[in-house]
Amino acid sequence: MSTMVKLISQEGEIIEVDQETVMLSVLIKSMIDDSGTEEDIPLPNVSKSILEKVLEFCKHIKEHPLQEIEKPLKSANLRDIIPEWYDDFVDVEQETLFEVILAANYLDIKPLLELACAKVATMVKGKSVLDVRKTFNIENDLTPEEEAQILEENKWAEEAIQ
Amino acid sequence: MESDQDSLLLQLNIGCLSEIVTFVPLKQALQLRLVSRKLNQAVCYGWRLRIYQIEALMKHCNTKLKEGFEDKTVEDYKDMCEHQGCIIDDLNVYVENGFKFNTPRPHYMNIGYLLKPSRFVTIPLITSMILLGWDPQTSNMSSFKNEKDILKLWHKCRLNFRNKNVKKYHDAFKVSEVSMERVSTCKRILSLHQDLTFTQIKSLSSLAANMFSWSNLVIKYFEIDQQIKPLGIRQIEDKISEYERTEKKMMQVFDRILAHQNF
Repeated sequence: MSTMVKLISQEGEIIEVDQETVMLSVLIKSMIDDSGTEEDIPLPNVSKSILEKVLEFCKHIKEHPLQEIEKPLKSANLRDIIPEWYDDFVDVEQETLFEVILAANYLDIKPLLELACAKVATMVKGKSVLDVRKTFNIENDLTPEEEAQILEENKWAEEAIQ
Repeated sequence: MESDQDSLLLQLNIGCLSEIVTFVPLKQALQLRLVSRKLNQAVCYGWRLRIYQIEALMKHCNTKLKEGFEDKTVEDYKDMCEHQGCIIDDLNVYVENGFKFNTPRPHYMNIGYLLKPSRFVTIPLITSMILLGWDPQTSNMSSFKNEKDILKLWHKCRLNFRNKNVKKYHDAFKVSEVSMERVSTCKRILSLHQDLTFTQIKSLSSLAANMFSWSNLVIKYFEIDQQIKPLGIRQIEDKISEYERTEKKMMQVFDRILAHQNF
């Protein structure tokens, strides 16, 4: 029988999960290595709903490994690159997606971080600067001088990259 | 660095943002620098890290090669990679010039300037193509003098070679596996050129020999490729080659940019 560990979410709620599943998180693994499985593991940066989503990913990837996602993306449709389940998993509201990214970064779960980042990249791929600003509600905070400098610095790419 | 913007995307830290932008093709990623200050930093930071990754992969690749092969095989392999482009270029020139009248061909002077240029290309090329497995009956090229069709054939062949789809060529070039039917088709085609003198045929044959020395290179390439595959470095190499061309310039640009930014 597998050992269970207790994770404490941002709201103070306890989620019990088997040790093998959470070992995908480098942060949790190092905490278990240091203090064992007896002690509760506080995760103050992760809300309960996001933690549950992260654990859903950890459980699934154990049974259905996800290959490393190739950089840069070959398609703007994630379904062309990864299995359907993973595409559905990140097909969520922007707010949730960014929370998953922050949680994956905090918990140090590389495949989840890559998956969620790749999803955001599909929302960027092929879009103009103006479209990207619109999609993500970004204001242009660059000065005209800074913009001119970037354009100058980018000139080489026009010739060097096809 | 926290952003004072409302954008949820910009609430992510530079590390996460830089991970995102490395999934975007470099050319577009560089344009994303114009979206906002934080995204500008993320692009530079992310792609700088990506270059480090690529460098690490290259080192890993070289180590694997050294561990997995004798020095001679490594040299053969590198030589093969270098020559691959040259072979294609040479054949390109050969095919293109072959169609031009009055083109001096110093290595094959015996052919004579009045020889129909299509033959200059047709005989060796078509013979090779038939041995490769191409069925001339399906392409309506009974005379094999249609420049457009021959070039189309050559482009198809070149594309396969460029895409490293060499197994097909490797198998087809094994003479022992070429059916009698195919050999007789070659003979039939050559019989269409019975008006050529012996010297001319001989010169054309030397061109055909060139084609087949190319086929030997394909075979060698394939064999080395098969040895390399289990080491898992081919995929890595493909990735690396995608960035190698721009890497040096990227390093210079990102170094300069990052020198003026604080993270």
